[in-house]
Amino acid sequence: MASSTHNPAVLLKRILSLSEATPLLLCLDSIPQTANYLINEIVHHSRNTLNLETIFVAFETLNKPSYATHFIDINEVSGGLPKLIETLQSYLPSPQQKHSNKRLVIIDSLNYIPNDKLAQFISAVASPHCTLVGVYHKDTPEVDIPALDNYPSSLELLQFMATTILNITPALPSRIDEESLKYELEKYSIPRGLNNPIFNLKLINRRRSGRSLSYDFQIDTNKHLYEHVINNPEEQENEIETPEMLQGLTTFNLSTSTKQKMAKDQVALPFLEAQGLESHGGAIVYEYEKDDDYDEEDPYEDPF
Amino acid sequence: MSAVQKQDLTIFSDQSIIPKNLCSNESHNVMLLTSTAATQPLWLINTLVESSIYGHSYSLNSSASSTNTINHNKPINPTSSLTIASFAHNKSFYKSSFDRLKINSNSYKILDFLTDFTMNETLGKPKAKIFENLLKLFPNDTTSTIILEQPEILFSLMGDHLSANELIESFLKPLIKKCGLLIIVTSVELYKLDYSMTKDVTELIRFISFCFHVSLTVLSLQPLQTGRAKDITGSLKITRGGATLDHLSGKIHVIENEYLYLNEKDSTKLFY
Repeated sequence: MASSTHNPAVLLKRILSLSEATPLLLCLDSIPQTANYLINEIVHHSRNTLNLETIFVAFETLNKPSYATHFIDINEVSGGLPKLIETLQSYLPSPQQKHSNKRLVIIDSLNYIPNDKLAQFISAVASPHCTLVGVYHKDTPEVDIPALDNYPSSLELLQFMATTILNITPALPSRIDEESLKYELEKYSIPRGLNNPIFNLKLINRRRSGRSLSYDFQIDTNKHLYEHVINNPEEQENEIETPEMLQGLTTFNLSTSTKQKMAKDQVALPFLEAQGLESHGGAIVYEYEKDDDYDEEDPYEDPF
Repeated sequence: MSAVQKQDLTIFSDQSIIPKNLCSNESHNVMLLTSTAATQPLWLINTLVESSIYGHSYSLNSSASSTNTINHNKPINPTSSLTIASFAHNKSFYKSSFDRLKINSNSYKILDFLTDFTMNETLGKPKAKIFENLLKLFPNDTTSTIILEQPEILFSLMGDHLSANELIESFLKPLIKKCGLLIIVTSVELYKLDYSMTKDVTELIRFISFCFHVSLTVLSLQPLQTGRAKDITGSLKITRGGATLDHLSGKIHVIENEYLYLNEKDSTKLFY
């Protein structure tokens, strides 16, 4: 669902820079397109976050990334998942701490956590002060546990729990279509041009109201460019504002120049900010300006 | 065929098959080589072994007789070692192949995991002990290269049920940590998607999925789509794997390419 009130790329940038309140950010990747480029993009945008500590949990990654404050190689944690949770929690702020430095925990990948322990693991790590970025390989089959016949699969469970889902698919070169890619992958042959810094991304972001926003992007991680892809032609028509549409309506100049449009698209509107507030429900956000005259001691001075 | 221009094999952007800095800065790297029954990987293993030891492949595009006349240079790094461990071929198979290429026998070590492997290594032993014993056979040297042929056979050789997670955590990852470069050679015909998805199929696919995700590059040997030809054995496709090269200095990248090749009695020719 597209909203005409804001630019989806602003929302994506807010998610990648950890400005949005998303305790669990799920990155779905596959053999033809890895999530590593997207993880680098998250790190690129979040590096300006004050005192951000990045904890990398490596089930697969072999070398400590340069941005990782702490690197936990699962082979060096003896004691299984309980010990891993204990180690992770030693780096995280306690739930009682109201104001603490932001933590980013990257898990590569969640496929190695057993299905029946997944919910427990996520709830033990993700919190308002800690964003958990979990990579999940959607094309890797899950080990069947006979006792959990009626339990949801790991992918279903994660998609249910995640506040933001980043579904990564390869940007196919013109010579390959979906069908030939599927045929090649069945033979475990990766066509050339995949696992590329340029890829497609489907963003699903769940707002606090329960509304779900879904946008498609083409991401260029080399240039840090995010192009919103509109698949529905009707939607595209509604999106494009031409100067002709606004001519003759009024004597005022309502049309916007390209420069103004670009500036408008960069603005994060207040309702995006409001998602991160700790108060629930109908909170009124009033930002005082320098000329406002407000006396805190006068009960009749309440601006509302 | 003589009119066709032969091509040098290049995998990385520094014009190398195996870059010098891959095994020299405390990093751990994986390359994946996939093959089929019709496109056996021995010629490419030979090429990788030569490149690892001498920095260049002398045998590719030249006949064995001309290889005999080549005066091999000294190893590029005499202190680093190369180990080849195979679950599919015995020691003499590789020994005779490397002797034919005039590779100095002090430059490599062959571990035979085929001959009497079940009797000597696995029978009556717990999984943890088997992996511990196997890992002890490999040198602990982060500048070394290890070539591991068909480790997926362990799924069938283990007495107890072996899961992909156990194979990865108890054997593959510790092995990767022991060397600078691990080259995993596997036959992809084993992993045909089976829609019944039995436990064994699931474990095999989980294993191969890990290999794709941790590899810098995938070297894929495939037969011709159109069937058999007298002058072409198959194709070698070089593609990026799931791992990035960010941790390496020098900003190198994988050169994706597809070559055709012809295996002859004593040589392999590579061309476009």
